[in-house]
Amino acid sequence: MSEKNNLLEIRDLRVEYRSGGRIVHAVNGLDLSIGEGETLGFVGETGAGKTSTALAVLRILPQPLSKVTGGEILFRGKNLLEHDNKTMRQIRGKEIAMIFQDPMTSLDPVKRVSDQIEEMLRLHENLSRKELRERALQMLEVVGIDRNRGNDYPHQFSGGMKQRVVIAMALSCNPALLIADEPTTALDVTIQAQVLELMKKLKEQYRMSMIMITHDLGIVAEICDNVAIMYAGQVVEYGTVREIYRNTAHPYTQALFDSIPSLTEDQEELKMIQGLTPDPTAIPTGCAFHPRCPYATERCAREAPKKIKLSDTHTVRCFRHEESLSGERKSPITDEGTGEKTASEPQNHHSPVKGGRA
Amino acid sequence: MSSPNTPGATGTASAAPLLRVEHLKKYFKTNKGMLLAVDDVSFDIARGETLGLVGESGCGKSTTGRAILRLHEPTAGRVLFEGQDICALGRRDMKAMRQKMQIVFQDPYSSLNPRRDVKTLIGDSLEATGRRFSKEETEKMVLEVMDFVGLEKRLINAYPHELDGGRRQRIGIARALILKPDFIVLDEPVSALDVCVQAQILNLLSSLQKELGLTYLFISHNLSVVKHISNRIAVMYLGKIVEISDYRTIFSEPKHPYTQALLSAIPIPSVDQNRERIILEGDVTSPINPPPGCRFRTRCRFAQPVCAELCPELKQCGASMVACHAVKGDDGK
Repeated sequence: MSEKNNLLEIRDLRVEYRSGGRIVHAVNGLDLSIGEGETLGFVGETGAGKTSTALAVLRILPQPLSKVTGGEILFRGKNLLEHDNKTMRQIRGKEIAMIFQDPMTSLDPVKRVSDQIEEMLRLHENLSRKELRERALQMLEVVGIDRNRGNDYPHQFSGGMKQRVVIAMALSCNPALLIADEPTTALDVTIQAQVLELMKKLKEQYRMSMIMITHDLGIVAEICDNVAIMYAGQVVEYGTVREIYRNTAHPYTQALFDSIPSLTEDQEELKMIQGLTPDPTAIPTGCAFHPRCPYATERCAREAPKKIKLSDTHTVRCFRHEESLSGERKSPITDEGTGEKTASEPQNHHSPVKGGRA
Repeated sequence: MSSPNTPGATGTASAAPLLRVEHLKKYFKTNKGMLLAVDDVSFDIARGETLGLVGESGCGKSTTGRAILRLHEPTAGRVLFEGQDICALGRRDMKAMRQKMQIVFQDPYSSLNPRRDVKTLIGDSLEATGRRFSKEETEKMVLEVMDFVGLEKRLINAYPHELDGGRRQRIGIARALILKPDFIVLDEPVSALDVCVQAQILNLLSSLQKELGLTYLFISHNLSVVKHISNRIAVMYLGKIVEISDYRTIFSEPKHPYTQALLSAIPIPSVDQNRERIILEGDVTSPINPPPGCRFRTRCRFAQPVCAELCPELKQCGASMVACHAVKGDDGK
């Protein structure tokens, strides 16, 4: 990782869950860092370990079912895993805040929204009752809600407005790091656009770092500086948005892009990868992606690929890029042509409907 | 397979459409007043065609899909299937009709009975035929349709909890297909799935359509998914169709202000984007006792006084049909 001013640095993090006598390996040696003021996109499918990582950072993994079994999480150089509960309580909300996917689950249905924001402030700031109230109403205005609605209950707000309230709560103590776990997934697309616009504005205004957990590569392009692609509890590719989108290096990242229907082009058929994300109780040996990878070799099944540096900011875990280290730099994947990838597709696929109307 | 590009709701197709919806209305009584979920919606779907129905939550797209199948009894209007008004059918005739018209639901987790195995889940659909099949016949048909939708034979005795979302959705599709329908309402069939699985299901739906000559009404809020699979696309806002056009025109020349805003709101997975963002103010207004005039006017950039008085009708406008006072129709109005 480059020697930037790292706010958060995660090294070789491992998280396990116990589930009916079996061990679920949710996070498997994850390395990640995020600088001051940086927005990192954290991308992967269901079960990739995105949320588990976030919960581990805040030390709110469900107990006693799950535990961090290895690694360290350095926040401002100090290992969060070594803090006692009291110190952690001071960090949660104040230094690191989190927004969850469904705003309804983060709001208390029987409390007025301003009281809920006040509660957050009361824990961390030394303010009088009057000041608390005023700060809470100010926060509502910051997120574009009329201050007169402070006495309303969550059910009186629409989904988008509820998520704004949750954002107001998260930002009320001016955290250094905001972890947003799919903050717009439950919202309609026009409302999502409003909320994303608001988050973009606020992260500038509050100069905070942000981890944006999402499965939507469109949102990442819109709001993030850097991207980490997760697969089976590990970062398989990391880079700037430009590097990931232009010089896609990992076959899984490519597959994610290929799966999204294009808005600008007509496609005969979507390219797809076979199979499913691996069972986290039995993660494949070697490279976890090898059973689904069109380029897999016998070595991929045996040996886990190390992190390969493609540029100062771009890393990938895939043997295919080893040669790009020695000799002249090849631009990855793109020089393979697209024809080869289709070879992995099933042969019995009939020409799709779109062919008929072209 | 012919899929005539009929742009209009009333249709210019030479052959009669497979499905024609005329002035369909579905109102719900609520404590606060009448909820106009679907308010005077008309469109045609030609045989072998896919009509995409997009809109935000609460715009009435699912209610439309269900009212067409009489899962919600329409408040008013007609649904003609092969020229026959299905709303006039008695119970027995309607049951027979359901063999030809099927639906696949959004959530593959809640639409399957957790206590039934795959064989029962798929085989139960056969009841709609009104005929009795022996165990062997049923099993043969189930296996056949499982093969069609790409479910491994070994799963015939599995239960839903043992299967992932993609496989469950394949069961949902198999249940519809076993009756050999002509028309399927697909109500957000891929919304609950991860992108990679979503691509698998979309490809499956496309190839099934080609092979079996199926006609789809594809309901979704995801515009890129709808564009991928549809021949024509209808955009709904608060119970009304505001624009209907072929899948290319609607993206290249969106005419209704709502369609424009909807398209500009989609985050595009690309680093080089140069487009104007239209951020809509406010939320969708309530469909309960909506004010007269255009439903979209409260959020519209181009709202004029006339929009508050008169509800715009769909009118022909180039290749599209648009319901907006600010858009000039072909007749100059």
